[in-house]
Amino acid sequence: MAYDIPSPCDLLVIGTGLTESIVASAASRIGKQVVHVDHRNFYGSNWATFSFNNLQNILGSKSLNKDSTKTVEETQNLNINLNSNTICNIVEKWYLPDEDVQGNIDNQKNLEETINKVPKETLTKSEILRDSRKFNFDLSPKLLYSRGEMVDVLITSGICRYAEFKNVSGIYTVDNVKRTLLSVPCSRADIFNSKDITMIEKRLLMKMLSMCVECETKPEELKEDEMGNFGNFLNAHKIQGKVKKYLIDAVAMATDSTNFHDAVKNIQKFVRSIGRYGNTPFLWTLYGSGELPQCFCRCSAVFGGVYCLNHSTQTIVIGSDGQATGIVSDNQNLKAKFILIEDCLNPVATIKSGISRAILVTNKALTSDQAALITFPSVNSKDPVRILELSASTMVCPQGFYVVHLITHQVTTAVEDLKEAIDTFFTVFESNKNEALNKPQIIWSLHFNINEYNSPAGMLPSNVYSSPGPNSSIDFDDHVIQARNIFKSMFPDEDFLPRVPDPEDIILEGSLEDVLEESKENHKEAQNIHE
Amino acid sequence: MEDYKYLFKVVLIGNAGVGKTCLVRRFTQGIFPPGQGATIGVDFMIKTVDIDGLKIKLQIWDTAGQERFRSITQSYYRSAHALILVYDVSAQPTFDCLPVWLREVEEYASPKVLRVLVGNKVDRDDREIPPAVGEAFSRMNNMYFIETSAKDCSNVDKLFQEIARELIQTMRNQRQETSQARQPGTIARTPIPMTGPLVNMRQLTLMAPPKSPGQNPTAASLDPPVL
Repeated sequence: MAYDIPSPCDLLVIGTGLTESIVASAASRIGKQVVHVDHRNFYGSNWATFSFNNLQNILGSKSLNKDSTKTVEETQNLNINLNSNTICNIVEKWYLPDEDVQGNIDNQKNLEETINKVPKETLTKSEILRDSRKFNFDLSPKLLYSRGEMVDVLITSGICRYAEFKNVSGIYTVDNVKRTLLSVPCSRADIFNSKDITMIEKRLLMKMLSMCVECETKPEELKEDEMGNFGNFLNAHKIQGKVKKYLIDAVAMATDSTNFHDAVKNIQKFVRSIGRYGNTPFLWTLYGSGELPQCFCRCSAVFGGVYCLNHSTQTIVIGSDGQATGIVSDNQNLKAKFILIEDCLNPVATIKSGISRAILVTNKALTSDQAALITFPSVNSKDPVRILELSASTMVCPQGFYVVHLITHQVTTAVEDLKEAIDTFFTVFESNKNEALNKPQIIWSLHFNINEYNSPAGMLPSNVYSSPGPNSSIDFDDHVIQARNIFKSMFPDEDFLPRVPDPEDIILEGSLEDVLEESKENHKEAQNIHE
Repeated sequence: MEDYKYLFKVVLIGNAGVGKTCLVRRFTQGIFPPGQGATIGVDFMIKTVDIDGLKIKLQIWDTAGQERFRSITQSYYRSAHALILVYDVSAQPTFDCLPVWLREVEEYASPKVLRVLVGNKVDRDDREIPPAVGEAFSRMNNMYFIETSAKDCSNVDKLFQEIARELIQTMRNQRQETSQARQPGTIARTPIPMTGPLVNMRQLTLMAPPKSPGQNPTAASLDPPVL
């Protein structure tokens, strides 16, 4: 059952991360022949979502990969960098007894039950792994602004029909001294009902929000502040205390030193997004953020895109004119007009920075929300840590568990960068200790770093594009914009992801012809009768 | 908007060339063969069936060719109410692949999904898989079983009719259970019930506001945005 990969094609995409998948769907959508390959056996590359078992398999194969060396051929062709360890510094920890111990406990339990004692509440590793598929762990968890670029493109393209979402129900920052959560009021009603801030503070907060939103229409009013950073701007307006924390940590998703314009843009997006689907500006993708690249891939496939996972790619072939002519993939020459390659595979890309990530499974919630976004503010001019706490209703874990994602900019390693935030809110699981500490306990944790790459301009043939992998921002919008730019640069006069016709409105060639022929025959018959 | 009582999502899987698209086209449009290229741009097909006087809308999803290189997106399986696994009775390899497909189903589809095994192309005289073998496999894997031919149309309507009937039954049973067990004020988390026109009761489905007036009843009662 050999199926041929179409060659030549219009666009060959290497890697099934988000940016690549968006471009692939946009090109298929306007009738271009797209071939989309990935050497991995799963969708999403560094944006993927894994069940417990799949994650363990991936981690296993990662460590195996480490020793493999690449043979570099001395040709003008570019070798695709399959061995880049984009995900590194992996530390996995269980805080539970494993199955051997469980056997004993089970016996013990039975024994205890027979003598009518209350059985001890225990939890084991194998019990959790039995529910493997109910866990959905994101490598790169992200949220959608309800009126951001991602939601826009999902709606206008119709691709939203492939996914489901839930509102993030709470947004928090952290009190610097007490180290407790501070709920950030989002809507006007929330602000005026808040018991955490005074009436004067409420007015100030409202005033600042209006000012930032209005500077879209009245930019002249803010001229004097434009030079400075966001922290200076707030100081100039005598904004302090909780209001300042709300604005910097949550509303602007910024730090003191963030450029004023970027902060204001975020504030505008935040305010605009409130109330569209709920009380906070954010949506979470059910089953994990890794669903989204797949939604775009499905759209591409529906419009004729050809998908090959588990398909290794060796080199980008360069023609005599310096343009790429195609790639060598599984010893097959695939010709293409354009090539898009994710930057961790890009032969000329260099590591520019990284993301520090942790995934925790806990037994208790920090908040009462189905999904919560917590900002652990910057300490010692490090970047803030964004924490996502997700409950079972977001389809990332079984009932009774919580998945916590921590994301920050990499300084040293994930373990060190996130230690303070984790220690503040969580403790490790110890089955024989009483829960006197009251903190959620960590049952399992995974730390890792994801590299971010720089693709220097002019180093690739002009028909080869490099697309960015995940960054440390909390939303997808940068990547949607970059995907659109790549698409526009390949196909300047074409629409970017126009609406997909509603399947119920499609009249298919076959059926229409049948109907026409039938009506023609009926017509003839009618004429015959007449004659 | 067309009037119907329930909407169910049915997805087809199985090796390339076993006749998945033909089954869908035969059922929804009564045509065979569907003609190549016609699948471009078609996400799913819709057909309303009548079960004991109830109008049931079936949304039938095809693989969009992603099965050719074994690259089906996991999201394809999510929220499916019924899953049809198709093999070709005249091609042993398509039958041998069934366990691989089932592993994927176990991993990504809801555990409550209705699973149907279909041996297609029974019109052919070069059959390799006897009905008993298919049936035994289905029984072992706790699936429904039927043999069809998209070409001569045998059992095609029956396949989908039975699925609709079965899904209604499952839903009725579940509804009874949940209405007894449910606490007032909590939201049912059963995967099946989807009442009314495409309003997903469980979670947000993104819809463009002008296309969905009043689709999000909670949004209307919320306070207006800050400014």
